Amino acid sequence: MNDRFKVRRQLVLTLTLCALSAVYLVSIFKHDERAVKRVTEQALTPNCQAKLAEYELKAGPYYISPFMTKQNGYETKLKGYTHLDILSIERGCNLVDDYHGWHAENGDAERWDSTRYIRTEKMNCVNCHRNVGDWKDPETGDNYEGSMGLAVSWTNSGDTYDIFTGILLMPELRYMQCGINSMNGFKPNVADDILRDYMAYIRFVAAATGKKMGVRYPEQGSKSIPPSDTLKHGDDYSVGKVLYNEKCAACHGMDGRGKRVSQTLVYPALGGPDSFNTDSRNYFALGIFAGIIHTNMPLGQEMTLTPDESRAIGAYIHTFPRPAGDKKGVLAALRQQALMFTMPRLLKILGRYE
Amino acid sequence: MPKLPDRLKNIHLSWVLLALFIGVVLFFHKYSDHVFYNQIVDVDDAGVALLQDKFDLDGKFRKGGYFTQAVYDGYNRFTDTPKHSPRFTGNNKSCADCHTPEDMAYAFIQMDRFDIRYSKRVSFEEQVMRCYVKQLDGHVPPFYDPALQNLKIFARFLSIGYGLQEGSLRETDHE
Repeated sequence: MNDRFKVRRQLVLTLTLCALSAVYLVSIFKHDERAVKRVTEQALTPNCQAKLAEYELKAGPYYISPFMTKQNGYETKLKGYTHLDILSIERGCNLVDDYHGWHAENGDAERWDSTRYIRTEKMNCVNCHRNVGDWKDPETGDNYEGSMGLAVSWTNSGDTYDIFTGILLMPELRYMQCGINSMNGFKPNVADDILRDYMAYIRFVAAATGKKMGVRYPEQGSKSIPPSDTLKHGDDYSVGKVLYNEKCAACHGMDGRGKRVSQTLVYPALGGPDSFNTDSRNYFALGIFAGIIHTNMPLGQEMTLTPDESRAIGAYIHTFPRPAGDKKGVLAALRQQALMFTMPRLLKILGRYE
Repeated sequence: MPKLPDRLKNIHLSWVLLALFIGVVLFFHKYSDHVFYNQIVDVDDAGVALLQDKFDLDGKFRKGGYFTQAVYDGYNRFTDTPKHSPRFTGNNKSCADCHTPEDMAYAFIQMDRFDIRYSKRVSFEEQVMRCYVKQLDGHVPPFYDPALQNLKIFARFLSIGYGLQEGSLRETDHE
């Protein structure tokens, strides 16, 4: 073996060891950084402030929900929370209310850099899960029917059979599906802090609102509108277009691409690159999407649309080009990208948005 | 070296390798500890008494469905862990040696809290993993493995059966 070969071998060995050491040091640094983040206080969003103040979340050996005390007329002691549990719940609430960190003092670093998991700038969990996943009638305290409460996705539908995936779907996996499809992004690891904090929040809401395990509550899921609930005149998307332009376009835009009004006020996109993708339940299940429209829209006049109108608007929104889901394959992705690029421009030239 | 019969000589080597590959896959699948959901999982009489007679599993969930099968499987793993979770169990102990079904139900709805023993928040799944390693002297099951998930589903069903809610306390937990 000549000297030149020996030197080269030693150099390669040294560089490899240096690279491995660098990876090790970075991982140690990241690990410590996460440990510090776990015990760091976060500024709460206004909605989370109100929500957690309403339920009087504080550290102690027991937790007594004032909401349940008022509803039941007696106090129920539940397992208490430590300071670290509360921090986790607060971060989870912030994630649901403000996934992008628009209200954060330190950008999305306060949300475990959550924006690395999504490809859209105009979608948030609260767009579908109103009032931080716990939307109630302020007078009666009852959650609205079909308002997709997050607490019940833990107490009742968690770990049960899911018709769309064909498996016993964990709440964690359901969250991932939302991240991948409804927010057109990527899934975090199941043990990631982002998921653990989210679970901590929805479980706290379940405790605070007294949801019993395995009991069906009206706010679970969306109020699906099947064709049998309509006059059976067909889901006419041209009718939907008229209704959409009249009731929805002012906020969501004529092309459905959503609007950013201010730093923290964004109307979600219903089509285009910032929207949910074709693997989302909002897209492939018209009954579910129509139910969401019926329950949540138009803002301030909720539940005024008839089932027929809701389905017609849903059918029209489904005609907007949107990103292809990951399961659809490369060709579908290319087609959707091409549609998203050409259709708005074409329709603008044709004057359809005027 | 003995000569191969002529009819065997015609078998192409790739077919042999393919058969070997399929054989290896099937072998590991058989011992991979996964439940075949198209087969009905049996439980002993005590299991029937607990899950059916006491908590009406088939009535609350669909008979023979995925959830029901998972609960049965979780019960089997709970009562006889070395037999039903052999990959992750190192001794002859079972979960039921230390815990009652009620313990599992309450643990399920009380977990995901800060645990002073580990100075961190510990989930139900992580605690089960710790039990496999420490008390059962075995290995950590992967998060999605039935050895972990079906025990969790069993505990979830028990919490439904006992009529609990998130964070419920036992009588003994009160002051």
